[in-house]
Amino acid sequence: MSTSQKSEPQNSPLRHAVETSVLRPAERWSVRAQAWLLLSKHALYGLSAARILVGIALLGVLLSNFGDRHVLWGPASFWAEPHRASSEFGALLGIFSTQSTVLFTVLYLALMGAAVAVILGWRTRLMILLLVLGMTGLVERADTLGDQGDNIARIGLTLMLLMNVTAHWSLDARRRRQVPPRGELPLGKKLWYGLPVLPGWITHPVHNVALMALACQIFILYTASALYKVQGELWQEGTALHYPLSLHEYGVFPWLNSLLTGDPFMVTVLTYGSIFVQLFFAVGLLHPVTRRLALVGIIFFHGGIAVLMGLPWFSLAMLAFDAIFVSSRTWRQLGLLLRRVRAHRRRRRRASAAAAAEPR
Amino acid sequence: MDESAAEQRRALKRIPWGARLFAGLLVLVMAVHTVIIGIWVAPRTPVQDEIGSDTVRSYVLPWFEQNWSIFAPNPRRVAVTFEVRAMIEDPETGEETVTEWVDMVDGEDQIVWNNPAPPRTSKIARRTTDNLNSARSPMNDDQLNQLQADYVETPIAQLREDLLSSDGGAAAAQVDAYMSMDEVAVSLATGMAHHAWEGEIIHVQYRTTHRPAPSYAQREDMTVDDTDRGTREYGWRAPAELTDQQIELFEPYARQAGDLG
Repeated sequence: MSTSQKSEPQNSPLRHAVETSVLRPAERWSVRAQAWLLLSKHALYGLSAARILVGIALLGVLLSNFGDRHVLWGPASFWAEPHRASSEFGALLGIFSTQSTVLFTVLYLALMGAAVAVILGWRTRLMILLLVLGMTGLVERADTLGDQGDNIARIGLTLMLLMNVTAHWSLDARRRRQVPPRGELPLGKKLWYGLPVLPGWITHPVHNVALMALACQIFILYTASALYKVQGELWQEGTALHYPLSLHEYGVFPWLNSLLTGDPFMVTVLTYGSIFVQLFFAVGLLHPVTRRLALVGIIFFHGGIAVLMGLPWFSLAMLAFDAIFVSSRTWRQLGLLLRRVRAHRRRRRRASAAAAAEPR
Repeated sequence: MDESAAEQRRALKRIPWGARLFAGLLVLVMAVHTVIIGIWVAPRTPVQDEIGSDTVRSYVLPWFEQNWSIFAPNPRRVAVTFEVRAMIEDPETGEETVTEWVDMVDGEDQIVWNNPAPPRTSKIARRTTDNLNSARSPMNDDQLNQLQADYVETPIAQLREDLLSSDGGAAAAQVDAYMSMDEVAVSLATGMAHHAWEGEIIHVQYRTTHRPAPSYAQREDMTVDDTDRGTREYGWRAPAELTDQQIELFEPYARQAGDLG
């Protein structure tokens, strides 16, 4: 070491320790946080999947209630009028308040169209806006029949307005790929092709912060659900699932319900399992191994609710947003797997067609 | 420093400083939003008292409305009925008869059975009973008795006055909650009566029952249809005024709910 360095005070051991174990790591974390927020958009695959799944859930609600639309929300929903008087959604409820069955049906079909557009990722931001406003205006006309699936879909779609949810599996992405490679485009063309108009340092943090808000919303939801359950003695006793599943209200397949809850081991495992998957969801995401367990657990949990309780659209709406926690790598692998299966089927079809065409 | 970290540093250098401020503000907004949602979802805490539950409420409702104490602390374990009947006048003889009770929840149960994606019509009468039960829960005995009185000639608005004249029990907002639920129940009963019975509807009446699901230990000895029912009675009411179109469009549901074939 040279004498000039020796004489400088920053070479004291304390200074050195502070620098290596506090300042430098802090600076590195700050760079990482800034890079995460500002340099790129995250969870693009997961959000594209979430868009498709929540679109299917809402389309499912609209389809399965299509035959009953007039009495639920339309011109024959007079019975829900007193509920509307106290609704805080006010003017939104007016969208579907027509007395004409034809106009009501046309509006209803248009809302289904918006759901399909969201699934396909066509003019997605506008379509999400129309879907969330229309869906809220519709289901809140009979809020007493609604469930938390309506609420989480509304909240999630609202946050999706701030995010890029069409990076994959969407018509918007296809249109963006078709942009002629010719220098800078005028603003109108950019909007037409769905190309970014604002600089990345604005859109990236908006996307990423909305993603954080969505993730936090889901953590709150599952953790609260679990903590409310553990207070109940039927959950503690491990028999809670028996009760709702023995009601006609949730008796889609009563034989299946009694088969599952009739067995003492099964009912306890399922009851405790329901609490555990929710309680450990948020913390489970922290480690790659437990993250996979948490996600598989929550898929089975919602799958069970969907089938056993006859709540498929509620379950799918809840599950849709969990897709953001599946890594892009897994989504790519799933996409690859799907393509391979399809290619394999196509080859087999061609081979059998060729064999059939061959003269014997 | 590895390659990607160096790359990140270079990329960050190209971004204006205002971007950091902007992103920081966004994170702050997100954090405040999340804390408010967390406070709303949680039970009442000193933090909520400090911020003011009205402040939290006005931020969350209606757009961010949510409630995650579903099936908690204990899951649903009660089956209900919503039964209606009517006093019908034969248009030819002028004779007035009281019909049998029709349970609309029984028909709604049939909608769910074997249907993996049941429509929401399976909940119209069911939720009406639930809402009636919650509306009457703050009432005192005096008020509960009053619900059984008939309001056919006397306008139903008088029931509100009579309920409010009681000492204690349900307060004005709670009485209003019942009055709306009565309106819902009467309109359902009227819609049903138009399709279930021939003749002119003079009055309608509704009542509800509730019965517990058998305990886990009893599961092999009985079903939810074998347990004792409690009945809650309400007086006769004047029928709701419905248009021909409303009556006609109500028919498919009435046929299902009333099991009219």
